[in-house]
Amino acid sequence: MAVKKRLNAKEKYRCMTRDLDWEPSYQRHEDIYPHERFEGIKITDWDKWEDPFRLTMDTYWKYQAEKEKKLYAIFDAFSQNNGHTTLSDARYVNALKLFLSGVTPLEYQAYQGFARVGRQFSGAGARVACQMQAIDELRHVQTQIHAMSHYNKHFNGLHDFAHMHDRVWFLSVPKSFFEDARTAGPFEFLTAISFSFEYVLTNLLFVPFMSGAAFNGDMATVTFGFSAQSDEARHMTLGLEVIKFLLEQHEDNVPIIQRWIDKWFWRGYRLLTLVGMMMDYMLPNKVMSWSEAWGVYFEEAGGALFKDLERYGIRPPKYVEEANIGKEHITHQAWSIFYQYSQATNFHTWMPTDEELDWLSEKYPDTFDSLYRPRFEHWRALQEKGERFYNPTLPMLCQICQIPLAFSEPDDPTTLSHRSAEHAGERYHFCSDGCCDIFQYEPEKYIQAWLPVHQILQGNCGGADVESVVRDYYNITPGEDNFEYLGSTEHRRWQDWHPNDKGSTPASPADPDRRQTA
Amino acid sequence: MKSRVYINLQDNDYARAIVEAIVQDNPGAEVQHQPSMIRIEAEGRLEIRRETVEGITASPWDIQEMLMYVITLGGNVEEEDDRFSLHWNN
Repeated sequence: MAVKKRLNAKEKYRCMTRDLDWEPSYQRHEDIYPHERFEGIKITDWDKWEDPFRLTMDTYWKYQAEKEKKLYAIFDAFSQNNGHTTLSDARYVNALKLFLSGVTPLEYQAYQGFARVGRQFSGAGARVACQMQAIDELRHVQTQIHAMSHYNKHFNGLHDFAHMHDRVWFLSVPKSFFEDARTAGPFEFLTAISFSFEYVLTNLLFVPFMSGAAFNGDMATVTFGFSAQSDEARHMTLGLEVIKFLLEQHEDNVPIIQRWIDKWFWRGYRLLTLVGMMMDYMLPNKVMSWSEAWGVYFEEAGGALFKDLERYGIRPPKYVEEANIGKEHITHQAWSIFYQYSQATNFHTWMPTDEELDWLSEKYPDTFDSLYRPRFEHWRALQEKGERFYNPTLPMLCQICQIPLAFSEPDDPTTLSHRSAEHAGERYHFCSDGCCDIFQYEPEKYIQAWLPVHQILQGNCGGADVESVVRDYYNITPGEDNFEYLGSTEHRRWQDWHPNDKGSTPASPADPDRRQTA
Repeated sequence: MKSRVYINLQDNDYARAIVEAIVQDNPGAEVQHQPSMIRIEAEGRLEIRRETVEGITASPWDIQEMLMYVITLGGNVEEEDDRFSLHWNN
């Protein structure tokens, strides 16, 4: 008898994945998988689940191990060669501070989320895919912490990212995004994270960050980013398969999925404001503008995707038009927030140089010169007079995205966008119709939001003034980790490393507030 | 017009043979060199064939190994033993 030498990928996958599953005989199905039904999603046949990548666990370990070996060899080379001294400019490291405290903890939440939903699905294909993704996400947390630990030896603000993630005002934006997804049911979690975030939006997070790192001499970040992205291709594909599977299973799933897509597109879009701001303002060597990235990775790529989903009765997300309008505005508005509240951040802010202002004018011809450049020039003039502007008040936050209310109306960039709704005798405030809708569908969930400003005012974050909250509750060292970049200890240290680099000379005097507290 | 599928690979030695194979097998494919990565776009469908890659490198090639160097992709994925393809249904 002829013995077949080896199984092909399809057969191997079937034998080593689906065939390892079994039907329970002495426990009821719904007792083993108690979360599978309450969201109203109907699954008639889990065997219809398609796995585009037929990756078995043994192959998974083999390739992941190889990725790790390559990655850590580069980390070693980077630190042995003092890679931090050959960055484009020390201002760049502030983007890493935002990443480590804002994004890395989300990778950990993703690990927790996928570990949970992987347990809750009765289909073996979905369980294995979620299990692999959970392990991937844990790997991403670890590699990011390792990559950044080198920077922590030489720069400020990276010393306590997990603690900050749980407490600092603007970090509640990413934190609450993921907690919202993790406290939803398993199918909503997958629609939120695998589809809306990984498939539709994640390119806007990682690709610009990695190209930005490559352009600014940050070999360690490029490498962990690409290593993570190689897992991401699998995650994105899972996201698309999940949606197609749910839509094909039962027509009753369509309106539920549509509502989740509307919600999670808007949540993700708001979250990515932080990334857009990083691209437009925090990279000394620019890659592409937020507006361009949105065009390539959402308008083009997302357009093709939603055209493909039309056949299932799915339309593009509800507030997509507002997001397309917002691409010309949100990064400038966000940088304005961070510039004003730099006394309460774990990174430095600054006004763009003349060259950078010109770049912004060129990239945003319809909005920058008329709306934002005058404001920035005004702030720069104040700074040159020694009156660097800090906003001493606490901002009002949106109950859903938790970003300060500072975005403008979609049809009028000179008017603040502000919505509110009443629930059980209390009034709640929102930045947009998108966030207000999300609240009104599930008010009981969102009235529990931990809003940093409310918490400070209620006395739950220590001291009676911002400085003591920042110092004692956030563990941010005033005068070291925060305030203006020009004249900061980090700026001076960079100049000591590069005595001949005229490009990094301050354009204006050091910040007076920083000197007071230093 | 059909929607465009795309795949971005790390710009390294390994990827160059794959890019060459894609160009051979997909006459309409458009190759863009971007900072540290190569992006390949095509209308409707894109295929990477094992035989073509092996013909270029003159060594055995495992499609799953390629995933180590993929940065991102767009389109429905089909992975077989001898080819990897992306397509849109519209």
